[in-house]
Amino acid sequence: MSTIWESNYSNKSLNVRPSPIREILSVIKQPGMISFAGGMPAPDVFPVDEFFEGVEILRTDGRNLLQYGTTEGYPPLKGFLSEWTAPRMGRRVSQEEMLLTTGSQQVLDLIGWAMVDPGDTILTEDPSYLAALTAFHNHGANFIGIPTDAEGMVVDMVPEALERARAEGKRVKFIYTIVNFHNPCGSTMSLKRREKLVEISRRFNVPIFEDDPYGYVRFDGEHLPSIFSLDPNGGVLYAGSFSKILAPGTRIGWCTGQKEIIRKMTVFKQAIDLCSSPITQALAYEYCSKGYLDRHLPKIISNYREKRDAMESSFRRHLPLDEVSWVKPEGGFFYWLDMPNIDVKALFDKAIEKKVAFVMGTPFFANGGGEHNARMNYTFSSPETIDEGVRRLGDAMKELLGR
Amino acid sequence: MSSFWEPLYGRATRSLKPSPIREMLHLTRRPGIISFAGGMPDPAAFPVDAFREAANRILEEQGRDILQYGTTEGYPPLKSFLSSWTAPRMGKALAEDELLITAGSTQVVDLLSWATIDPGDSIVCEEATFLGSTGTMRNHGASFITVPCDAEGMKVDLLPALLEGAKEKGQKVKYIYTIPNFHNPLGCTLSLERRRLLVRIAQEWGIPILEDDPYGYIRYDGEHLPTLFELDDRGIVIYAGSFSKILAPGTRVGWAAGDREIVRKMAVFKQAVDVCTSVVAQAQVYKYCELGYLDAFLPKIIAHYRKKRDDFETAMRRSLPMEEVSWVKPQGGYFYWLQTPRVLARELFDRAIEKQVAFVLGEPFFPNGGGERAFRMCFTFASPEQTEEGMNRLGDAIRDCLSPA
Repeated sequence: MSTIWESNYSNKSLNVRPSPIREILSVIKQPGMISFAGGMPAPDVFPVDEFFEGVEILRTDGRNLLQYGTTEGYPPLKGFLSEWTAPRMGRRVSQEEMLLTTGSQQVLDLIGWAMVDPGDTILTEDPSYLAALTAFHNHGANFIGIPTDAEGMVVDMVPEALERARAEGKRVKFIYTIVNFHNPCGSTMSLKRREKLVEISRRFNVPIFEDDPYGYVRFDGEHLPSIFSLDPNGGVLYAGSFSKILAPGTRIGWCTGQKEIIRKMTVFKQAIDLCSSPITQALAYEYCSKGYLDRHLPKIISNYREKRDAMESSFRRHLPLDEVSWVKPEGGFFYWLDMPNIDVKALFDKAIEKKVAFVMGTPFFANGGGEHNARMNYTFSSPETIDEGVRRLGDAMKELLGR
Repeated sequence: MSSFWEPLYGRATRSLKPSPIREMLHLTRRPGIISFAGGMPDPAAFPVDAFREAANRILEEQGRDILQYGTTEGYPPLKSFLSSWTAPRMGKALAEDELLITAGSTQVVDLLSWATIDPGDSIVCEEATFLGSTGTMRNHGASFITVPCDAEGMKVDLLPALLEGAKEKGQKVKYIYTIPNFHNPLGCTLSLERRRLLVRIAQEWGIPILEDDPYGYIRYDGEHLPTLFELDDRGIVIYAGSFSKILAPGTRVGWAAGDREIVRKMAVFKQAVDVCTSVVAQAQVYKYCELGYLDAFLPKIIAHYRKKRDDFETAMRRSLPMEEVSWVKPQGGYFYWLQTPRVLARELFDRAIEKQVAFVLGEPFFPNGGGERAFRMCFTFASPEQTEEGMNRLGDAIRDCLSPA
């Protein structure tokens, strides 16, 4: 019965990889399981009433909002974002320099459409965001991974990597980086490295894709300038999202960059979904323009700061500290555990027995690695649940270590 | 400045053409122009108050849940509503895993193309077809094998020879794309006999069908015909539906129904493309349906557009030189397709714009060329007065083309 589809699959279809989080979904859903696997916001931070106040806009502008919208995005929301992001972007970007998207995930697909031919190469942090690797992989990309440390991508290694790639005849299309509170490794790229990366990008004529879904969710320290703001030459595409600063159910993201590349991505978006829902874009705009975004964001940040602190102290309380290390994230959603003497697959199985789940490090590495790493999300669970889950994880580790 | 990105563009970008319709639409937005060009619903037919009520109700009941990430497959209540609502048309109640909620039906084309098309593969379609779809397929690297059409839709009996020819040339046909009801742009509807034959041929050749049916529920006359999906017993048909025409396009909610294996593949691609369709939008649509508004308003929407079609037909008969123009009266949908054997549409377009009336040229709808003497008119958007006045102008423009001063 099904062979008619199979025999008509594309090569992409034969090679497509479902997300490993989906693969373990049935495990995560077992009763009693504490899961640090997903990357979801906590629903209790959602500003439900403030968001839905915006529904009133349908009373005055309903006929317009129920119609097809422009592919470029709802102009008032773009106007707001241009203003609101100006401190981070170094200036107010114009309407033609911005495209509203169906979440920032769509930016990954669109830049793939615009830039990537099968066999092309993308330079990324190693490890990197899984769904980005998947999106680029679907477009046929190969990857060069650059190691990371507490200051993010080890940028000093990039020139040599680019030179080697060129010598091998590889076409490097862009450098993909998550500068703030990296997913999965939690680190933040230092200012010096950001400047260096822009210099390298210019020297090699390779653009940068700066993915920043977590950038506004900072717990400690000062915001650093975006790479976009450090580059006057239009060589940086910046992607942002409402998923973490408002709510993911809106599916609204944006990208900012030189107008030629934005225009190309817009034409691809026409063929992909025509436009993002003008209704949800208008609801987001109402929320923002009434001042709720600025008023509510500190509450989201302090909710997650408390949970990060809870996870940090639970780690210190329950994990075998001589066997596990991590970088304390200054923002974002994730801890990344490094366990040189523990096989993560064995740990995962043991942890599931004890009813605690996480994501193994392996799928975050495009070219292999991560056998001794785990990604732990702290935003979704309560501090009490976090403590209990980390205790179980600590027990699993100790058993594996024979303690 | 642009040199940074441009030298690194991918193949699809280098061959990317801005949509000719988009360029044309620019002209049609000039003040004073009466436009039959776009294919948009009439905002007057939007059930704004009912939708707003639904939006308010869902927030009271589900506010927190619908602000979270949703499953890629879609909001379960909406899926189960659709499963029963579409059952009469689909011939059965779809199972949960045979249904995928998408960002409009445009995304169905994109996802199926991800799953099936490698650069160089071929798609079979009507000789003229929806530009948005062929644009998407072209981005995926497809070329096209086109089948002539008449009042009963695709001339399906020509298909075996075309497929044979493709096979000889070594072309790999990945699916047959068809708009069976109230075709865009041709306005025709595929007859029952041809539907049966199409499914049989597709089964024999082992080629899937994408049945794109955004207008199917907007029927003005006659009885609904069975879907290709219902006529097929081997899971070879993917059906694409949409709320754009039965509710409103601003929701951006559509769906795909088909064999669970291909639906699953499409869902895996959707993960990478946009994770999930806005849960907020899906839940609003669900509540609207669940409160009974879909069934309550659909007859009103249909009646609204039937009247417009009839006004359009009357205006055409009154104002156009009948011996020079022919068309098939559409039984539903949005479009008239006019054929003018002695008039070049491009020339007519220039004269029409001078006279402040606009339509869309036939040519861009033909992926492999054709349509020089045909054009598309949308009847849903203009008011009755505009329709009458616009048709007068168009009639004059046709006459001018035939006997230039």
